[in-house]
Amino acid sequence: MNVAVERKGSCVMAKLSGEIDHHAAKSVREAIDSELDRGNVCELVLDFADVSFMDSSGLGVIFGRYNKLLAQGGSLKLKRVPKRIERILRMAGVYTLVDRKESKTERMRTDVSVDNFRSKCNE
Amino acid sequence: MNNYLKMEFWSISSNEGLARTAAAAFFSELDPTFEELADVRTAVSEAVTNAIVHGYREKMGIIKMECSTDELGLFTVIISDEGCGISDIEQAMQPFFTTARGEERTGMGFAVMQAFMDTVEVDSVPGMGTTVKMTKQASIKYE
Ligand SMILES: Nc1ncnc2c1ncn2[C@@H]1O[C@H](COP(=O)(O)OP(=O)(O)O)[C@@H](O)[C@H]1O
Ligand SMILES: [Mg+2]
Repeated sequence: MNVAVERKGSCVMAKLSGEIDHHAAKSVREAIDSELDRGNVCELVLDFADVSFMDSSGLGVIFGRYNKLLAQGGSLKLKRVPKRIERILRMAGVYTLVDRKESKTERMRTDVSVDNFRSKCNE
Repeated sequence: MNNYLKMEFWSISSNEGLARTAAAAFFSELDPTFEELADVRTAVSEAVTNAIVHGYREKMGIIKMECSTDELGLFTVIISDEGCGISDIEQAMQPFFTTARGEERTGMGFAVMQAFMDTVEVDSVPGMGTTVKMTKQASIKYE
């Protein structure tokens, strides 16, 4: 698992690669949070293009970042989500609330409604 | 094809990858589709993670994984721990139910297992441990 975090102004981009399971979750979380904790983040973009595996521990990482961003008033975008991972996201109810757009470059770009997502998680 | 594999390993998180890779390699003998293989990999990862995170609460314990295949293309995997056990299995299997929300668990593990495998059976005795048995039919055509 590798995470490349890049910051441009108030936008943080994290490019994930490899397998996201419970074992990898800690380092992914730490890498992203070290940037979020500096504050002033309007948008976090998670790029899943090179993620070869993700289970529900990865969902936990995504949900956790949502909640953290919410406190800062920021939003989260999931970018280039592979089909397999999309299926798990869909199971967690993300896509019932999601505005899904595919750009001209065939990339899948997803904006998730933070409020609804969180209330579902905290049931 | 008739085959059997048994593995025992410590409840440390780096073994999650080892277990799902071994199970998938074993299952691949049945020539499953890429999708079926990924389903097994994910479901095994969920069950092994649960044994580590919930069963043993990140303490050291032994996790057992048994895989078998039969001549009709059915794959069976049994993952067991001797950890804390589950008092209410029905509740534990509800989507979004988790006893570890603070650790960024989502309560979707059992839901993922049920969605990706053909059958999922959970047996558990509080204080004694938990056993998860799952099956998956490989869509192979026998001539
Ligand atoms: N092997 C196990 N030993 C003890 N408790 C377990 C085990 N597996 C699952 N559980 C219980 O079932 C709940 C739901 O599991 P799961 O659906 O995988 O969600 P999560 O792992 O995100 O909590 C867990 O929170 C835990 O209380
Ligand atoms: Mg779980």
